Amino acid sequence: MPGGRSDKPIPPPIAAGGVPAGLEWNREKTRFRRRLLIVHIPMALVVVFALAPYSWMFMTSIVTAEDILKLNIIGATPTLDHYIRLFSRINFLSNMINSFLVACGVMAAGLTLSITAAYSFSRFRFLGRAYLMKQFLVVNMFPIVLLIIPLFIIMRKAGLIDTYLAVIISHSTFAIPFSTWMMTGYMDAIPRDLDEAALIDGCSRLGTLFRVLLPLCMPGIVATGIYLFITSWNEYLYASTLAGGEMKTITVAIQSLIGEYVIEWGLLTAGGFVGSLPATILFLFLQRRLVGGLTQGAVKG
Amino acid sequence: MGKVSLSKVWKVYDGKIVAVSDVNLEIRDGEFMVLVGPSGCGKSTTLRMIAGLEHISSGEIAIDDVVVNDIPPRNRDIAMVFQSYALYPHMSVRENLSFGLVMRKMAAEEIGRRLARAVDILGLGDLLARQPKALSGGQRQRVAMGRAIVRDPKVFLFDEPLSNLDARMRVEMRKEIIKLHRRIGTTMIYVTHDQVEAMTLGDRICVMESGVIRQIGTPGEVFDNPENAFVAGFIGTPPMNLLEGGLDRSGGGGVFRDGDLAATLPPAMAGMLPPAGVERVFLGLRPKSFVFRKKAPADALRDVWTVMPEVAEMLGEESLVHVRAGRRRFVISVDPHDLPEMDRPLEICPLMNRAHIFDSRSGRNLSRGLVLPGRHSMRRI
Ligand SMILES: Nc1ncnc2c1ncn2[C@@H]1O[C@H](COP(=O)(O)OP(=O)(O)OP(=O)(O)O)[C@@H](O)[C@H]1O
Ligand SMILES: [Mg+2]
Repeated sequence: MPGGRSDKPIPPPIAAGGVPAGLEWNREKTRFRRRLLIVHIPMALVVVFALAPYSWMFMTSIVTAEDILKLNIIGATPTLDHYIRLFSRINFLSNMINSFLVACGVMAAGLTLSITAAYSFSRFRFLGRAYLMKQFLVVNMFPIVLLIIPLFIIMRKAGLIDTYLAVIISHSTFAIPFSTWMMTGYMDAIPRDLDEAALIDGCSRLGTLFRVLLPLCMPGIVATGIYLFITSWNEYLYASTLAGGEMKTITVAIQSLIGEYVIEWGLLTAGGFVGSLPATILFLFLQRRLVGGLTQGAVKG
Repeated sequence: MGKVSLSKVWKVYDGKIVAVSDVNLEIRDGEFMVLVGPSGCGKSTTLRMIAGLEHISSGEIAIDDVVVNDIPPRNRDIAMVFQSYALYPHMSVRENLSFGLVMRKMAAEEIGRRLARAVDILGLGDLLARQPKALSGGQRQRVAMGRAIVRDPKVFLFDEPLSNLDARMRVEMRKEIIKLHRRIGTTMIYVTHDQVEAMTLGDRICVMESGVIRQIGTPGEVFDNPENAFVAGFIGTPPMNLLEGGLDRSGGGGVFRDGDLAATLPPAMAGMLPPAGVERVFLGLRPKSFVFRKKAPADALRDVWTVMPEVAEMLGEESLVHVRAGRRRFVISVDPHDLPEMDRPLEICPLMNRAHIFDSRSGRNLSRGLVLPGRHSMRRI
């Protein structure tokens, strides 16, 4: 009996969410507005706030010295003058190499020490463990200036002034405690069962570190490595005190552009821009790993 | 061979928390031994000491008569399956399975042969290339077992390997483990807090409570002849009812009394009791050891208890009825077709041939080993 159902009214078309189509579209619009207000606009503000000084620096670095003094930066014709002078006149390239070698040294020493230290902090319960962890945090609260004089004396006695080693060691003193904390956090997120399974499967203690723990905290190692590299790359005070003569790092070199009577704004900003490039590029390349590392504990599953 | 013996083993954490005290345990070659007990009783600690993951505070553990106290886990020739499975997340299933063999520098063709065998036993065929995160819980469980099987160790150790699975999967894997043990015949030590698992899997089971072994025996022995009130109250679903009361020895026999409740011990049972010194006891009766008065055999009619049924739980084959008698509450098992009316006084008779008497101070079973008609309910088929 095909005609049996014809007396029932036909329901109006329903959209996917169970709501009539027009309504759904309206709701979509208000949702977008709300997101715009509470997410996108604040985000845009934060980005502008973070990027504005950086872009100002870049724009300053590509206009002539006269334009800078006249504060005529937006409309001026661009020039690469400062960059050319930076590399030809004041040998900025060798400063960059110095910084790079020091930063790599700090990264290598820092990762070696903080990974092994973090392994014991995370996996063993030894006397004084909690106290040491606390001290590692407290160290960060001292102004690093305090350490300069003793460090300088030690380095001079050891004949290390104006060497890479001096700068690497000094940077390590304040970068390693924090990176150890970082690494301990990453290792704590890896279940101990995995170490134990590996111990039973035939690994030694050190074997479990290399075969199981390290591969699993790769994102953490990358994040810690970047932290160490950038901390060292940006450091000025120790670098200038312990190696301010022959082997200037970029921060020291840039600072030396600020003379007693004149400030070479063009050179300064060009140096600043070039100096910030490696860190920026590093971040861009490793961004995904880094974010993976920072959120590892949260999304482990 | 895979004989494990623990003698006078203690574990004390941080110099004060006693997790395991004076454990003596002989596990025979090829035996399936289950360590069972409530949470925190020290069964994992015991297993981990056997594995070498935990330092032994005092005492000796020997595998095949070699004391292993100072031998690292990798040299003990044991394999372990963890509750969390502990699969290496950065390795494929194949790499997970072969890791232990590669670490032992085994030849490639031997590794291939062993992998093939484990894959065949556990049906892991199409999973070999997958990463652990792409597996279901049951599949991870299988891979974890496979990782132990390929090692071909002297002893398998399991720490609650099924407790992360859903109920159906758990029953399934229980069967697989029994089959696995039949097939490879290796010694297995299995930790669980689930007494049903213990009863179904174990050749023998070792019941622990707060770091102490309470009884070691076959599932039948532990069920029918519990050594003490703890074991009686732990084994069985639901466990034995334990009613505390006085023991009336006047007139030569023995009568259990608690308020209105009286129960006459069979003469053979009364004869086992020490002549003096036992005043307070637990009367142990399993839920199945009661009958309605109207159906009671003549010799059970001596003691009639009037109880108040409060709640009934339907389990299919039987119904569990929670009853109250005075201030005591206990559970009886009845035929679901013959369910008594709730909150109406009901007359039941305890089947005293099946009862156990425990000293209330020491918890010791005073009627252990007694043989009476109808007493032993559990048989292994
Ligand atoms: N690392 C430790 N430090 C201190 N005490 C511990 C440690 N590990 C276990 N314990 C204690 O030892 C006792 C036994 O622990 P164990 O893990 O063996 O219990 P379990 O029987 O396996 O229990 P569960 O069924 O909960 O796994 C517990 O009281 C526990 O708190
Ligand atoms: Mg446990």
